[in-house]
Amino acid sequence: MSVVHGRELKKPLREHCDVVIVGSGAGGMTMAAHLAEAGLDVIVLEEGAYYRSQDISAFKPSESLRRLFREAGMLAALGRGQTPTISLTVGRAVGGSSLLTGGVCFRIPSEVHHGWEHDLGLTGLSERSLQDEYADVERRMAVTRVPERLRSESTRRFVRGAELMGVKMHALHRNTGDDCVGSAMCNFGCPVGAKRSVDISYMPSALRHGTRIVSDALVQEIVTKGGRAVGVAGRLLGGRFGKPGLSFRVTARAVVLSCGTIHTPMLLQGQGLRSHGLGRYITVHPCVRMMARFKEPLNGWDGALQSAHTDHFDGEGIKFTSVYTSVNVLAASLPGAGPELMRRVRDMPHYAVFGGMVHDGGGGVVSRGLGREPVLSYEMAPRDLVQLRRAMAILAEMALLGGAEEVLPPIFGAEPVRTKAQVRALMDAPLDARRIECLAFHPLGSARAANDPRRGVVNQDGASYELPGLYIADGSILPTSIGVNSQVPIMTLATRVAWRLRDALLP
Amino acid sequence: MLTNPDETISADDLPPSAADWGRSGVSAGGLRVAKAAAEAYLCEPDGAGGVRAPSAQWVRQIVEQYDLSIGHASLTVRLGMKVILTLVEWLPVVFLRRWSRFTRLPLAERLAYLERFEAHPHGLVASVSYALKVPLLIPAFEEGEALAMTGFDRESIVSARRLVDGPSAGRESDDGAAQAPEDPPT
Repeated sequence: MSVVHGRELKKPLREHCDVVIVGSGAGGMTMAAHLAEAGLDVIVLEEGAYYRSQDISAFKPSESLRRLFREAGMLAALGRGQTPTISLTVGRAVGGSSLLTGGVCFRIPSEVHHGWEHDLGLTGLSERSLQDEYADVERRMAVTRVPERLRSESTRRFVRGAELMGVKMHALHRNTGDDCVGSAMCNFGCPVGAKRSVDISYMPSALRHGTRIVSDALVQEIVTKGGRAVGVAGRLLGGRFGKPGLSFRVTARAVVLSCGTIHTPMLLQGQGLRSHGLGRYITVHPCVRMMARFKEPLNGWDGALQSAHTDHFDGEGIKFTSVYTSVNVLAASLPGAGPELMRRVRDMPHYAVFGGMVHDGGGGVVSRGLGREPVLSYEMAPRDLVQLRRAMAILAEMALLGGAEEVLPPIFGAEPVRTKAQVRALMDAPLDARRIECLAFHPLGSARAANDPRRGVVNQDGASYELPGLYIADGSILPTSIGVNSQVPIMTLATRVAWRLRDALLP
Repeated sequence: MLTNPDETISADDLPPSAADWGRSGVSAGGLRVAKAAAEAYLCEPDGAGGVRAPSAQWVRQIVEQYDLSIGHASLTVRLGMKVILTLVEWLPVVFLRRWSRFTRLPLAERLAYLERFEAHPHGLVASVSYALKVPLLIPAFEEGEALAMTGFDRESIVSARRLVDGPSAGRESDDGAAQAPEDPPT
């Protein structure tokens, strides 16, 4: 069994199965594998295209952006008020955003679990309750500690600066097994196929157990009967230019939405669902990336894309992790134009990069856009903005202590800083927040789990309060911001939802 | 039965569709703005105190890739980019006090204009510049001499890092599905 390219089908699709899953990313593919392994008949519908992992490995970054990224990599959360426009990374292909991660694997921090359990009454989502799910995800994804030898020289310089600040750095865990060679291309397609994105870690088992996966299938409607979700309908993408695609309709005993935080609420709102918080309170973990120039060449692209982090500032809600990305993407985002830009491009071997991420309060709202794509707007809480600026200051200080000659603050039009005093002056100066170059990779929480229908969209098992037969298994159900990379948390919750659904459907 | 027909054609060979956006995304006027901007972003000193434009072929490739990328985005992004390109075309009157379209300015003035745009103290204005620059320049340093200019020392941008004793790569089955180990290490 292989993946069916929906655009190549010649007639409308009508199918029935036990479970139809909308979306094939971290949530959807995890669900599919577990349910199919239990003997259930599963169909996965994915809006994006299917590319084999060896094809993805050969994509240049601009090809990856067009084929694998939603909005060709130009998706953004529009800032409201004193909030920067935030560039968002979200996948649109079989494998979803798991194709685009740096591979970083964190469990949800204990204090977040504690809050879910004791403040929100979500005892089923306590750290102890999810131990088996965590273990299963980490085993399938071959989560391992990044060895010291895979640290790039870029990372080492920031780590040295951090240590001089009294900040201890630790090795990250990633889903690459022992196969990573440190090509620093994870987010555009690992050249050696080491990263266990879900197309590698879960999909083969799902297919072996009979799951049918259809790419290019845009779900537009949840089919209901007697007030219960009984299937989905939509159209296949592709076909003649300007002509509507073929329609499809898949009926099932259970419907699972795994379209991601931005698209799941759109589908639900389109059905007239009005659960509390649907499409609101979205967290994104706003990030900044600091580039620093060192005297000697570092060739920062030689090493794991992400390899080190510190939890020193977790109490303040700031997480620092090493990061690099494809050299052409870094070059394109360098400040300046003309000779100034070209000089910096030629200096690329001298640049090191490190990232900071804020554990944010949840100011995102998703609403209908001009076409079929939703629009995400985001208002940053004043505290989060302060933390973002503090993250920039700490990163700049780390770089300077690590020996950087100059640091390029992620602020449009800002001059490079060369001393600690300049860092302090820049950070103390009034700043239009919309000048901050801000990124985000973890939109979460638009259809939150709650233990009361008046406070959320789904229960702890992912079942919709409003529409029986409907389940949600993606980042949208996370009850709060988590402050760490979201792949393992999403897959862990999806595993829980899958096991509960399996138990409900099987005799 | 849910299978593809026996005689399938590659998804990449199919004509683009209105539904999945795989087509040109920028108007002819917009492409002129993109071309003029690419020339200014990538210009170099000419040795006589001025600047010289990058090669026409390089700029053409960049603009083609940019057009293709916008074409893969939704109506919202395409309209947003149209607004950005229109603003860039008409704002010299604000930034340079010159009643001229951006595309008709000499190269040195285009460069000065883009620098002012990017450094503008109002965040929304500066972010417009960024929204044009990054997608336009991502394909610029992706291959050939331009990639070499960055100092990147592998054969191509998608080459794996060279290791003396690197572990073996990809685990593909015959049908192309990558195989996860049954008992992956933890």
